[in-house]
Amino acid sequence: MHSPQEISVVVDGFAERLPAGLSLAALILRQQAQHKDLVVELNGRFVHPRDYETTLLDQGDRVELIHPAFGG
Amino acid sequence: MDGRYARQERFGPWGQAGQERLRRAKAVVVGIGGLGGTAAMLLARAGLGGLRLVDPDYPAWDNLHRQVLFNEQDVLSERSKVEAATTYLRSLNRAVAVEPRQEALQPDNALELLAGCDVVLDGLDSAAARQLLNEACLKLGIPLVHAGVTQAQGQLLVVLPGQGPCLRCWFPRLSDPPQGWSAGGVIGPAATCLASLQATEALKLLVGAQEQVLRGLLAVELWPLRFRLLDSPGNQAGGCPACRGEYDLLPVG
Repeated sequence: MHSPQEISVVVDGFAERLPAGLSLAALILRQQAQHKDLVVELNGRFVHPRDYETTLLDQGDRVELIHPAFGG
Repeated sequence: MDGRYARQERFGPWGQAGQERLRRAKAVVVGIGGLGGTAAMLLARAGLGGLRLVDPDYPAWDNLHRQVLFNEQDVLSERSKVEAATTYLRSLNRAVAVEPRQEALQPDNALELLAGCDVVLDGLDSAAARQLLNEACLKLGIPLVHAGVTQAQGQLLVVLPGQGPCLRCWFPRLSDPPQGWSAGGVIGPAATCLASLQATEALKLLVGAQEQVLRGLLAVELWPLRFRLLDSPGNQAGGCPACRGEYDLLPVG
């Protein structure tokens, strides 16, 4: 059982228990995914970086964090 | 040369009609290292009509584990990458018109380097240069097949100007890490894998199978192995300044 202060979110395919009300920006910090050109998809929708701070995670959300590679 | 392309022509979506389209088509590969070099080789073997190669560099020892166009003699002889590549690609297929351009992509030459081509393949090694390439392709209306690679991972994206999100739509804050990518690690199969996917997308466009082209962003990780397709509704053409014709990097005019 989850405590009211926790939600279950699938991050990069793995279930994570996270504090309720966590923002995408806080999740990115928590995952140590600090590259500024990270691509983030939430429940199958692209999230623009300007919205990371204001997007709050909900129970059952699915998040994909893509680290870009710019070598050739 | 009878039957040279018989096996790929027997692939239904390609056929003899696709082969004939390919023979009349021209691609430009910008950066002919691990990604661009492999993609250029595959396009030349497939029978592409014209191939313009753009790269300012010389082959180095730390290129050889992943850059299939070059050998030890090329490093020792200090020939340019485009010169060595031209010799090799002509030996693979003399019917391909290879056009070497030993230049770096710059704001003042980008449009000229891409002009007249049917598709652009991104084999660059920095985010900043890619942003310029993206703008130039949007301005000219030429499809861009982007790939990037580092370590054992990378991503693939096809930009169809006006028909879907561009590189900047996906990477709004596109920039390079402070240390640059050239110093980063990369394994050979990661580069050749991404390059094969990249060449395939270019070939779809060139043989006339545009409806089969990748939609969305494909994230490829090889170690451990995982492919993820981000097919994000909401990330659409026109969503960024470059898509709207507001270019930050190209000269005004």
